Amino acid sequence: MSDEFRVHHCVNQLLRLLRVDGGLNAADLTEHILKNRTPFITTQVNTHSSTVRISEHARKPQEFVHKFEELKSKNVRNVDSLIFLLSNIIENPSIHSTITKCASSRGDADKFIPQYPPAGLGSSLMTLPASGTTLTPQELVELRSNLEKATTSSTLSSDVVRKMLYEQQQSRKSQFTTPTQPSWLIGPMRKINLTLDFPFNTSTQHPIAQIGNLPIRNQEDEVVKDVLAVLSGVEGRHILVRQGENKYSPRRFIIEPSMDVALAEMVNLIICVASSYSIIVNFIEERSAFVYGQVNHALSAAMKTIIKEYQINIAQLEDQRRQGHLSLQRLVFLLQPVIQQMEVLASVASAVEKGNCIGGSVLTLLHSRIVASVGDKVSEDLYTHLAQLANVPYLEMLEKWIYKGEIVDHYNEFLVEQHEKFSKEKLLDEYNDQYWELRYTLCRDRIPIYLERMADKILNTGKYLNVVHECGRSVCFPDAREIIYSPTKKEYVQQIEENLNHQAHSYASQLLLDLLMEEHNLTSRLRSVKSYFLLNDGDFLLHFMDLTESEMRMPMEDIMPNRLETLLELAIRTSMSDRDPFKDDLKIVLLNYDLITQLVRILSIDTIEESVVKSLDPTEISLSGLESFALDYTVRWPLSLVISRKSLTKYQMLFRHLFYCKHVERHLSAVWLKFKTLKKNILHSRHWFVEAMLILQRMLHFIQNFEYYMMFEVLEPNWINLEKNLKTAVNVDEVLEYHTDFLRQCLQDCLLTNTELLKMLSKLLMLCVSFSNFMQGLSRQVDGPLLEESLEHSTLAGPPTATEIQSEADRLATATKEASFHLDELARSAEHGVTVDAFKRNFTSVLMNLLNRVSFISREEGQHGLFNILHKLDYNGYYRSRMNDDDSINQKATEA
Amino acid sequence: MPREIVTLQIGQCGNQIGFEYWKQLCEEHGIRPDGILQDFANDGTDRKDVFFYQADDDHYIPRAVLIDLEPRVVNSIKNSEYSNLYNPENIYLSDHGGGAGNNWAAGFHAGEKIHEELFDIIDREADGSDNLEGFMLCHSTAGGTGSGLGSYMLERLNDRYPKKLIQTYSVFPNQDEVSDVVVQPYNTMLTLKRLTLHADATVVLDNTALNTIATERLHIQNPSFSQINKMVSTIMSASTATLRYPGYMNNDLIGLVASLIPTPRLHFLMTGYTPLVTDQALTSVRKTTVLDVMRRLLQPKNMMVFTGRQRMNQHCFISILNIIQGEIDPTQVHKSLQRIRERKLAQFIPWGPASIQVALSRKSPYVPSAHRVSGLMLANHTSISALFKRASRQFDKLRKREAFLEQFRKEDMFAENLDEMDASREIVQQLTDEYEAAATPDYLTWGEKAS
Repeated sequence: MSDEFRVHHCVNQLLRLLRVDGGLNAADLTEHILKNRTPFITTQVNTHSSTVRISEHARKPQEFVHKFEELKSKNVRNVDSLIFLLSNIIENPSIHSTITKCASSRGDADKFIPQYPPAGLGSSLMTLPASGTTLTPQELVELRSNLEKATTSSTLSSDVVRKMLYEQQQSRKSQFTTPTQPSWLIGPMRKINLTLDFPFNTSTQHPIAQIGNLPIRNQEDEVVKDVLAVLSGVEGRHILVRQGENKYSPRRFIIEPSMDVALAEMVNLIICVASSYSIIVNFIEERSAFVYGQVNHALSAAMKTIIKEYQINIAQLEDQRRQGHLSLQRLVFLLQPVIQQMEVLASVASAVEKGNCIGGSVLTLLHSRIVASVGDKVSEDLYTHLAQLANVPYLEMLEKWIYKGEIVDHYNEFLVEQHEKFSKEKLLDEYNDQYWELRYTLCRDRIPIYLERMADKILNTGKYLNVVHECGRSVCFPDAREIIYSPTKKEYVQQIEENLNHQAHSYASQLLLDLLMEEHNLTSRLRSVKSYFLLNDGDFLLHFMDLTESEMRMPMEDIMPNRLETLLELAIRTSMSDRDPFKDDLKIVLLNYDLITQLVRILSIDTIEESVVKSLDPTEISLSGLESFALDYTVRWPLSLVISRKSLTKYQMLFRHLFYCKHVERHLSAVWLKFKTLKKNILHSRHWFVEAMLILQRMLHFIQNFEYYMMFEVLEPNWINLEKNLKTAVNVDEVLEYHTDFLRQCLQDCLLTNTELLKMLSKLLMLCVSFSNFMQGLSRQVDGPLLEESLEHSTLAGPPTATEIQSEADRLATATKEASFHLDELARSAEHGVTVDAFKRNFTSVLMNLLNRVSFISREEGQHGLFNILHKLDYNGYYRSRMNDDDSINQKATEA
Repeated sequence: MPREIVTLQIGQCGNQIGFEYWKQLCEEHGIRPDGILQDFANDGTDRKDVFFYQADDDHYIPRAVLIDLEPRVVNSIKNSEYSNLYNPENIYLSDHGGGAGNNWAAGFHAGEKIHEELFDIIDREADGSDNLEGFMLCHSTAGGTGSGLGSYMLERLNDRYPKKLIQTYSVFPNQDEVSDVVVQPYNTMLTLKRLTLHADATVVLDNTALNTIATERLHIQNPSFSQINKMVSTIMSASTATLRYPGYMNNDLIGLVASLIPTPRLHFLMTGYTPLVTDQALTSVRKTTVLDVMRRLLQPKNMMVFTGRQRMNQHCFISILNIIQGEIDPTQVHKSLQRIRERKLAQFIPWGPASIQVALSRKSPYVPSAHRVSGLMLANHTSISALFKRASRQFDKLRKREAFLEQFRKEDMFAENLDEMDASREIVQQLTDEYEAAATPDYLTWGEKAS
């Protein structure tokens, strides 16, 4: 999902930057891109031919090639894909010209270039290979800026980098502070001589000592002595050392010019070892600082052991020299194997430094070095040795993550990143919380290249276990095996894969699923939620509505939530729901917006009407209890993963919708009940009265069938489907997906996702309510004096005496007489007929509109579920024939 | 706070079907004949408190009032194993025990005398419930007590509890055989007037049809009373199933009844039930599907009102409610409705929207049933007018000859004149006309013409 948003964002930026106008919709483009995206496969792209092509077109081919190699050497990822893209752009003249035009019209475009953090580099490039779409130019611009940034960052001194890293870590980790190191050890203030390296310090420089005047034998002795000194990081008397361009470029050695030429040449053969040594030692000392992370520490430690051996070696040579066995010739001979070793180490050191590699990227670098050095036994072994040691801390983290679901990553090295700001507590009250999606994310540029294919699986495995872990249960993967890095074996990757896929991953998903399903009873939880929110337990709702009848009519401000809460509990206890073990989690909530407003607002997001809807002040409308009432449900971790605030809100919307329908039905039934007594008298046969009863019937028919449709043709089948799916789900992601699908489908088929239909529906319901109010008013006129007091004889007062009965009968008689007088009046009056007729016409036309729209939408948009409404609401084809009649009448009218 | 329903059983027939009904309910809810809940039914998810309440010793007592003017049937109930189920205070037997002598007027007049005692019981029951929804009245229209006293109770109940629903299960006499009650047509006519004006919903149980169904469908040569009553109790328990096993919809009586009855007088409902089984003859178990059940329900021969088949074509359904019990996939219901609609198996009124409403309900887990799905249809069909016509014809025959009126003239109501008879005839004629009119497209203007 987040991927999609990123693409959307990129497209938006692109459109803005290129000033594309004329009906191009970012959403459509995004969709197109996402659909047509193909994975980028390195082997399919011939980088070399691409570079050649670009340099052919470039104004300064030398500079381009130079830059390319620099980037390549820095191990910047996705350089290849960029080159491929660039060459594609050059190949395609139309895109090329568009970009040129754009660039020239914009002048100083750099101002607009979005500044991406280097971390985003890798991820933003992921969408690249969608070549051939119009997306490319903008990405180009973006890339250029990123590359610029990357190049500049390499020129920063290591001190600055360290500081940056340190600050970054400080800001990210609250509970762990990277320890500081004493200033005399590291940084600009360090004690200059506290190093194995040459102390490149100008103040201690001494002049070079003449040697040419000594006899050759003595000269050799001196030179050997000097060379040994230089090899162990001490400047000699006749060989001076100067730093190169920077700390990681080869050192320059100044050999006393008067030295015997033969000796000097021999010195030149081996002096490169000293240069390598210097670089390595420098690297070790610098990279041991805390901020560089465990992988760097491990790498430096590995190098340190090698250096130690090397020093022992040098010491032995020194010993031989003292005994007079060491000639320069012999020294050169003995050092031969060391030269290559040291060169390899130095090149690793400088590459890591240049690319400013940390964590996964160090491992990537080593891995690619191993792959590249096939055939060269010595360096391959050495690289492998380094890689194995450097991998240890990383793989330990990996093990912890995939076997236990924990992250111990103080230096931001691990491929999975934890975001503290998404806490599980927020799941309960924040609608847009994306705990599940965003709490743990993959950090693409931290993934060692050999783990790339499994990264998603690694993420999920740990995520599942992490949830279990968060529930306070200890996780122990029974089959945990140590993961060992061994690149030479081909089956290595398969081995890890197998380990992860078939064991850890399935174990983790099963564990979490069991936790949710069995220990936390997800299915019965959902069933409980369904029974309240989707009115599966009708008797509970019936009681609740009976109990809260007066409350619901009050304005929202006057309602005491406590009282409602009590009534809710009473309703639960006296209904079937009393058996529900989770009944105590049900709560009520009074919202300060009604359902229609809420839905219209949600639906209008991202449309033109948004501003209009937003401008409506919700506080202006005073809501009745009925309109503001909704149920709420307490969900605890880890169930809140599935029943999050977002899904609860959807449940709430469904509930309010159903609740309102039930309320309308109740209203209409009450009118029916009121008027049932009128069958005795003359009103019975009046035309308008019959008409009114028939409208009532139509409304009841509509509302009951609509309810039936929602409950038995939408909710129940979807629910059955969901239950079936939940049984087969193999991991939590699937569970989440099924649940979201369920809710989406329900909302859609209950007409809650289409503004137009929703408005018609609410109008129909409103008509029903106002009609029943009108009828209630009538009935009050009819039985005003008759019914209210006399008949509800208090039975508590004991049996009525004979006189009481007599007087009651008298009163009844007079009252009846009065009532019949009222009735006559009512029966005669024509105005009611008019009102009733208006109601009838209104209701029928809105309903027919609704049916029309539904049939149109279900035909056009293929939402066949909606078609069922038609059958349900118009089973005997009454409205359809009416429509046809209207049509033919209209036709005749137009013909005439 | 359940929506309680109080059952009144009046007369010989009323008490007999009531007895069967409570027997059925007890079985379905796992209640033993003495009112104690069976062990296996302890954690059921049904609602017993609509029809029962619990005594201090936790045994279940039906919300039933047993009324009769002669002791025979009630005594047989008292001597059955269910004797301890009922609240003895709720049983009213007339002091003199003479009965109404199959005379409507006698039954009605007796009602005036024992009014107070009866309403003591009823008021007590009404007050004992939190949120009384209505009354269910079981009686027959032929005899004296059920029709006469029943009519009286209808009038009084309607006055006293105008906001409560009154639903009746009225058994109409068998017109195929010669009855021993010669004044039966008078009784029926007088009762029909009260049913028209004072009942809110009347479930018509036609003995003619019940007997035909028993002989033709169940292959019982001479159906006994208890076999017929068993059928009636099956219908009664099925029609209250959604109240006792709540689900998404139709959890109250008004919700069931209101949409069936478009205008207050057109409240005579026909029923059909399938598959019917008897204790004796073990009929072969067939495969029941929702479609099968719903199609059978629409066949006139399964209807428990005899209306004369030749007239069915001109008549139509005003409304239908099918209560389907069992384990049902809602999509099957949907498909069946589609099929019925496509094949036009049901003819509906031309003057408004109408449909087959379906209420899905669970089945009692304690009563073993060979069939997966069973269904009850409650339908408002215009052909019920045939029943009224038949009753009117028979009434007219007697009335013309002024036959058998002596017994009636003995009571106050008919001492001076027989106006009440003719007024009843008039009301029933109106009702017949209204039902006939409802079958035509211009029902809406019918009222204007009639007045």
